Amino acid sequence: MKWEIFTQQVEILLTHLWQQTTTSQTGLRQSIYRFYKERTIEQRIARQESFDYRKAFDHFQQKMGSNRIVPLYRRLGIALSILFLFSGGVIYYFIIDISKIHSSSIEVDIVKPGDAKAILELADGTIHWLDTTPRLIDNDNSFQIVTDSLGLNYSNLITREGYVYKEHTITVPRGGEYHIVLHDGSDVWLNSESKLIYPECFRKDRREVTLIGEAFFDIRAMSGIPFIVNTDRGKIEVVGTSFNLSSYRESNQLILTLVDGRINFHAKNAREVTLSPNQQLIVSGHNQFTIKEVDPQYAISWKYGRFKFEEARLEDILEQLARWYDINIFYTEEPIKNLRFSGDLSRYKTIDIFLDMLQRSSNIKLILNGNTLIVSR
Amino acid sequence: MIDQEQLLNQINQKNPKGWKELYRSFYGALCSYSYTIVADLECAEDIVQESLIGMWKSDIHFSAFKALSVYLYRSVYHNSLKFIRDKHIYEGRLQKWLEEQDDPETLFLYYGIEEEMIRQLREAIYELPEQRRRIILLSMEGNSVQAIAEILNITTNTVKTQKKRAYILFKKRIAWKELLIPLLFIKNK
Repeated sequence: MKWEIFTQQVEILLTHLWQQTTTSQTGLRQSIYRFYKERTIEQRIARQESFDYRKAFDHFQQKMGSNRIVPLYRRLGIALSILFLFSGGVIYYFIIDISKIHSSSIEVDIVKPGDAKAILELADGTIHWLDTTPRLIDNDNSFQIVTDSLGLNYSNLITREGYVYKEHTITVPRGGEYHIVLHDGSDVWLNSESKLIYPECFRKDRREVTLIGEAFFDIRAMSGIPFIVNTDRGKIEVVGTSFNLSSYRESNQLILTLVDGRINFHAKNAREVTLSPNQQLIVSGHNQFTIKEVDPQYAISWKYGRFKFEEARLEDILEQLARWYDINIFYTEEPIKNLRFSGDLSRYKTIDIFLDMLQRSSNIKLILNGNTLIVSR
Repeated sequence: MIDQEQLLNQINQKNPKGWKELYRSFYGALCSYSYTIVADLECAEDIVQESLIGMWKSDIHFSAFKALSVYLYRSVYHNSLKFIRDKHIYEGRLQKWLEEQDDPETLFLYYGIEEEMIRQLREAIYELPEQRRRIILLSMEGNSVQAIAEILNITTNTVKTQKKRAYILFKKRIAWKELLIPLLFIKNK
């Protein structure tokens, strides 16, 4: 059939274009004509380059990951089944068994790290699942919200006259993280099991959001318009700054780490405190305040895709791990929780690397049983 | 540039490195090709991905690089047509294609040839300095030496020298076994 001429015709086409000649052959002549007359070579190159092969290859690898070993075994299987014709049945069955064991053991018991995902709830209650796939979300027919591989972006929204302010809620589940650019251009990175409530567009004189869980804020300075973050334990007032805020309900404390700028924290009992860069405020119990000087890189390492900690309590470390890998932790005895560890590891690895490191640097035992991690001595 | 022979071996052996190179080199071209048939960017990418996965899962073994490229375009072509037929949404479009063209397969074959030509061109020029790259592209779009000199605001001599250099490189990079017409590429209209 026709496809036999394919590669030869590619060469001829290239040669003709290079030499600026043409041919009487119909199919080729039309192609040459398209490139000459429409002058589209550069556009066609750009079109090919616009497809993201890296992303496609990553997807491909993920899909094929568990099958990677199969082709080898399949080939081996064929080779050995030929052998089997001559030597009897024993070897053949042996091989089939091995390949079964191998391919199944690969898929079991790997706790995967989290990735970018979130649930967006619009003012009218509509829910959208978000990941890294670019999409347009119709919002109440008034405008569209764009999400791309970097997350949600509201910074391009323009409000019309008579616009009614509406609140959106974004919830990041366990094993997730997500990035949002708010209407004023401020960036917010949400960690696992966190929720941010914010207006889709800010009023001219007020910027206010509510956080449950953990997030890193990089707030754009706007003179005269402070940025307020509400939490269960009080509110944070900032001008232009970046900071990490961890306010999980079950951990019963708020940890506020300032990277740069200046922030005020107003507790519910009207107590107020001002933080300077490299200071960390911990609010625990009945509004007990502790302020200490810290290196903020540990508090914000998650944003850079790492788990970084220094002399941190095992319970605090494993709490982070539990949210990111979506696992439960079970301690066989209380004192283990207070053991201290230091380390620096990628967040995007499977959990076994992490567990291995913890076990090597101490005498604790970490056993993963399904989704439960059992910690013992 | 990676040796084609070596790459072919890696692809045959399902070596991830070779497959990454396969994606780098062919993915955009195949998506662009599928797009000319299905007219939907997302579907085009899905079709190409599916075709490549199909190839990975098969026991196919290529003895020459050319056979590989024909196989890729052909399977994307078939999967794209299949997609149009299955989805029915594009039935009107397909019908239109079929009515307008007495021989749609030849037409799609030539779209594939164009796409592969562009791909090879990309491979050959992607490391070139900007000016030489522009000269080659303008020239291949049918512009005369004079016109290129005017567009880029350089002398005709520079254009000629750059074209000559590019030609030498082309000969090295692209598998042009036999140039059909003797080297006479600076031909003004």
